[in-house]
Order: sequence, then structure tokens, then C-alpha cells
Amino acid sequence: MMGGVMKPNLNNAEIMIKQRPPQEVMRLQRMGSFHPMRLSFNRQLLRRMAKENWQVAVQDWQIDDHGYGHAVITATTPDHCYSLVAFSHDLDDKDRSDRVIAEKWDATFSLVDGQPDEAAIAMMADTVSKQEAGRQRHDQLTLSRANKSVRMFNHVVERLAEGVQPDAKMVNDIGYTMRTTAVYGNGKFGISDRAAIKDRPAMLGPFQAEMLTVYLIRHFSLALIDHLAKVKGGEKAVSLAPELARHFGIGNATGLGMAPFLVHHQVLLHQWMTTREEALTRVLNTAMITTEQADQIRALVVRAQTYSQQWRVDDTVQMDRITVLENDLQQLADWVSGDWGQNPYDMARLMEKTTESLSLEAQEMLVSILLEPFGDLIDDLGDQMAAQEDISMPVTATVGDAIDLINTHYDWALARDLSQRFESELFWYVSEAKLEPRLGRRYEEDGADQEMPFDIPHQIQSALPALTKADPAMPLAQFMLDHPKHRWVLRRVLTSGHYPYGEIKDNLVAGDTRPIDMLRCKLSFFGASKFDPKSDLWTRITLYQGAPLADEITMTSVNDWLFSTLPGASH
Amino acid sequence: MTITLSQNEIRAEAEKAFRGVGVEWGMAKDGGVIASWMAAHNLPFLGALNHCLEMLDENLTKGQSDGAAAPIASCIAPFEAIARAEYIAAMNTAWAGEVLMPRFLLAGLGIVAQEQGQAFTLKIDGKIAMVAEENQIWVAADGIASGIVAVEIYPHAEGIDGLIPCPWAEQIAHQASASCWKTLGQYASRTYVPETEEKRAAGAGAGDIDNN
Repeated sequence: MMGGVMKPNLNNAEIMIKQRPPQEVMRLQRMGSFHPMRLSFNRQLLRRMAKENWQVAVQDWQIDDHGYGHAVITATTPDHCYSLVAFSHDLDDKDRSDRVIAEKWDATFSLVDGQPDEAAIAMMADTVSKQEAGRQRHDQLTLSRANKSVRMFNHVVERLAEGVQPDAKMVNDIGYTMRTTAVYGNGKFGISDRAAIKDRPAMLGPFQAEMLTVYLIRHFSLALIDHLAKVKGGEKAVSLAPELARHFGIGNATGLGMAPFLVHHQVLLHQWMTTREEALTRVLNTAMITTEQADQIRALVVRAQTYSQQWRVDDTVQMDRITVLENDLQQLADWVSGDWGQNPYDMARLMEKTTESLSLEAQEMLVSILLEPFGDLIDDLGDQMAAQEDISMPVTATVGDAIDLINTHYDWALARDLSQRFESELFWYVSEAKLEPRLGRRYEEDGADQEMPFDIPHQIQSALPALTKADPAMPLAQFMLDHPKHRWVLRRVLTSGHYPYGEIKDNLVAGDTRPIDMLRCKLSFFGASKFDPKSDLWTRITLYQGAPLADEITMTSVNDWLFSTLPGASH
Repeated sequence: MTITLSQNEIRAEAEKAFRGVGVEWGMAKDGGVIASWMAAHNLPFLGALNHCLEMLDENLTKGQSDGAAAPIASCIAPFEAIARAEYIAAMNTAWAGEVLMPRFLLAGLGIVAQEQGQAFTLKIDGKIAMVAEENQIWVAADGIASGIVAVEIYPHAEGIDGLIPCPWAEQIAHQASASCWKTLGQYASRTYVPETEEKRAAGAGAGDIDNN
């Protein structure tokens, strides 16, 4: 029997495929194998845009013949409008850096609640271009910046100006003309708190303001290319072919700044993970599927094969995984051929065989594929992916309850031999430079006295003896007043009782921790594709590659761009 | 000179400031949420918070305590307000004692009341200063005393005569003194670690300043 999934038994009329348990799912290696999926946040945004017929329009275009100036692009929903204010800057090549500590960028952006007036734009021209160094307005919902992929950007402009389309292979290989280096939300640097917009239908889901920002940045980047090609080429210039334009997403360089989020937001992480698992379970419990659904799964496996063949990275660990994935996908293609899909629980059998014999990359890619044809069954789950996180502890909890929860949910932490130096080799801290999270080596570097409390197994193994010395009937509130140093981890322990998918079941300070796994997990929920690790600490990704353009958004198009590929661009 | 702050900024900076003076992580997190709650209710807090941090700094960072629950003699510090409210609710018993800057108790009692449906009454000098019952919070119209103050807390709601509803301004940015914010930031900055050149070279976007 595969972990957590009951083997289908056709003699049993009461078949129930169980959800994969936290101890199987909440492991870094698996989380670091996730792919974008139907419930990813950018997919949810585009579905809402289609369903509610949002209108995207350039309201103001003050970009000069060199491509510098500002523009306002507005997305109008049934009850609000949101405007991306974009500033395009003249940037010396030597100043172009994707580092978070950079102070100049090719373009800076902010998503504003409503439509900004001239005074607001004039103020933002100063503050938005300074990014972290500027105090932002409270009607700004996000703050972002991007650099051009200069070779790609110039190639596209030059080719279009000459009346020729850009090289498809190059479009596919790079995949974007601009890449963001940060998209800030929720009150950062004085912008609006998420609390101010969280009850709006369009913003109910996680990171919807950020997802809209990136989508509109993509719209801006394509409009800027069109503008410059026409300036340069005049009547000779042509517009970018839609199939190529669609294949331009927005790149992103993501580092450790994202990783602590998954630790700090235990309830939210649970909601994301359990929603994904519930969606999979619903699908696997579908006994019979239609011919169309089976055909769609077959087509997606083929598309995934092409996607994998076009997914080329310098990182040897990831490239080795991609090589294995390509073989695994061939196996999957064989398994779904013939009369596959015509027998009860064929999807559950496929998932079981994949789990037993194929790589984690293939298993999680299959999860994304299987969810795809079942929007009617799972799309409602997207509403469950936000969370209200309480701060106080349940006052009825006792010391005995905490001990039970530790033994139930933290057995993995208790099992580790923390006397081994390896188990404490790393520490997480906040860097003085732009206040970014960093990972240090405890026995080689200074700063461990300021480490963040991510040594969860250590804290569990420290709290348990103190708990066992106390009366099991003692209110936990009383215990924590006497033992304040355990409050942080005991809050997690109590939370884990209701939210078991909220805790990563690996030691985050062990010597073999790969933060890139945490980044990839989170980015997959954003809908990122083409993960391109540059080290264990940061990765490039692409958002919205293959997504419909603003004037192409329909209920059909928003649901047909998973593992987008460009014909003729394979290696 | 004033500065406009988001609640998220206040929460994060206050948490780090508490850590900066040596408060344990769980309590520091509570302290951040308490500060943010005060801002959301449009209650002045930043000057009082800095005053508390200064006193805690004397006691925790430079003094006798190891970060345990009662750092300033035997009185309750702001970051302990949630834990104390939980304790009173869990024991279902009244509690009396000294509190440093009791206005922060409003937040602790208010948060536990809102999240867990617990009722509280806070008395200062025998006079009702606050009543909390689920999402309803009333406070004394003439404000809350500062300094180290003797209080009584009851795990039930008493009469609200003479009290006014506590304001709620979740969607409004908080105006604060820029100099007070800077002071808070100085405590927070103690938690930052200087970055080495080696670290700088390994961060996101590093070593790959390509123009591709």
C-alpha cells in the first residue's frame, strides 16, 4: 500500500482513498518537488478575472521614445479597480543587479487601490523608485521592482522593429523580458496592511494583490516592447505574435527571504498543504472518469514531457532530477496509454504505481496533472487557502494535552539525536543589510546568539522534560507563565493539533537542509514554473509563462496553460 | 514629526524590539501582536512601549533576570499581557498584582476575549477601567494610568456604566512620532547580524549579474 493512500480494492464497494498524511507530505524533499497546479494563486486570480470579466486597460502612458517615464495600467473588477503604477528608469548596465540590496532598477512598480491622481503619481515617482528606502503611501497595496533581461529585451525590440518575430528558442530558453527581485505586500514600508482588503472578494485568496501586480507587470513589459519597437522601426515594425507574447512570463530571483514565511505562518501553511491534499484525495476517489478527462490527462503527460525537455538548468542537482523526470514521464506516458481511464479507480492505481516506483519530481508532477481536469470537483477549495491566525493559546489546554500532542505530532523531532553536531550546524538570522533572512554556519560564523527560533526539534526536546515534571492536569497557561522560554514552541505544538500540515517535519538547522526546497514549495503555490536553482539558497523562476494575455482571458484559456511549452523550441 | 505606519510594521518591529532587550521568542511575539492591536484600536502606545523597553533593558539585558516571567521586580510587563489573560481565563479566578503600563493589559485581555470568547473586567484603584466580552470592549473614558500600577482582573464582565466602546480602526494607518519609531527601531536593530562579504556573495541574485 502506498503511504497514506489505500490501495483500491474492486471487491470492496466502499472504497475510500485516504489523504496523504503530514508525515509523508511535510518533508522538505517532497515539498521541494512541487510544481504549479490548478489551485496555485495565479491560477485562482486568472479564473476570477475570467469569471468576473475584469477589464485591463492602459490608463496613462507617459513613456518617452527611449522607454523611460511612467504608465498606469488598471484592472477593473465588478466592485473595485486596482492600478499598477509603473516607472521605467534609465539604468546604467553597471548598476543592474538582482541582489535584494540593489538600490536602482530598470523599472519600479506599485499596485494602488483605485486610480491614482497626478499628485499621487508625482509622490510615488520619488518613493516607489526608492523602494525600501522610501516611505510608501497607505493606498499602495504592493511594492515591486524589476530588471530587464537585456539580451532578451533588446533582441525582441530589434527584431520587431525590423518587422521580424524574435527567435522562438531564445524566447523559450529565457522566458521573460523582465524579472522582479521583490514583490512586497502586507504593510511593508508603509503600504497598506492586507487586513484593509482581505474581505474583498477579489482579495480573499492568499497573495492575490501580489499575483495581480506581477500579471500587470507582464502586461507593462509587453506594452513597453511594443512601444519601443514602433519608435525604432516606424511603419516597418510589427507586433509580437500572440503565441510568443504568451510565452513571456515575468522572471523572479527568489532567495531566503521567502523561507521563514513557511515557519512563521503555521496555520496558513496547513491550509495550503491540506487543500492541495484534499483536492488530490477528491480526484483519486473519483471511480470513473470520462473519455475527455482521460484524454486530457494523456495530453498533459505529453505536454509535461515537452516541458521537461525544455527545462534546462545549470544546477547539477536539479538537472539530474530533470533527467530522471524525463524517464519517469515516459513511464507515465506508457501507463496512461491504451485503455487507461476506462477502469474504476485508474487514477488511484496510477498514483500508487508512481509513488512506488518513480521519483518525487514525477509524483508531484502527476499531482498537478491529475488535478487539472477536475475543476468542478476542486476549484471551490481555493476559498479555503487563506487563514486567520490566532495568537492566544486555548485556555482549556493542559500540560498533559501538550505532552500528548508532542508524542503524536513531533515524534520525528523526538527521534533525532541532537547531540550530533550535524543537527545544529546551521542557524537562521536576520541580516543587517536590508533586513533579509540568512542562513549561517554555527561553528564557523558569528551571529548565532541572534538566531531565529527555527531549531524546532531542539526546542521540543527541551520542552518535553519540563512538561513531564509538571502535573499533567496543570493548565498550560500556568506552565507557560513559569516557563516562558517554551512558549514559542508550545504555541506550535497546540496549533499542530488542529493544523497538522503546518509543520515541516525536518530539522531546519541540520547540516543537510536545503532552503531551496522551502522556496520551491512556496513558489509552486504562487504558480511559478521553470525552477532554476542558482545554489541551495536561491532560485530563478518564471510566473505566468504561457498564461493568456489580458485580451485573451476566457474561462477556457485560463484553465489551459499548465506546463506551457513553445512548439519548436525543444533542445 | 509624524510617520504613517502599517500594523504589520508595528507588529514586526515591536517583536524584534522585545527580542532586542532579551525577551523570550514566544513572549516577544505576543509583544508584537499587542503593539499591533493597540495601533488597530487607535490607542497611543509607542512612547509607553519605548519606556517599557528601556526598563526591561535595564533588567533583562544588563540585570539580574534570565528572561523569565517577572523581569521587573514582580510586576507584569507588556509582553506578558496575553499569557496573563490566558492564565486568568484558564484558572477562572481573579488575579491582583502590579502591572507595568497597564494600557497593554487592554490588548492582552482584548485579544483573549476576542479569540476565545472569554469575558474580563480590569480594575485600577478599585475602579473599572475595562470590560471585555468577546468582540465587545469598553474602556474608561478618562484613559488608563501609566507607570507601575496595582490592578485587579476578573474572569467575567461587570457593568459598563461610564465606559466607552474601544475604537477599532483596522483599516487606518497609524500615525506615530517619527522619533519614537526610530527609538523602537534601535532596540530592534540589536537582533540583526552584520553581513559578511561571503554571505553577500551567496544571496539571491548574487554572482550572476547577467543581462540575459
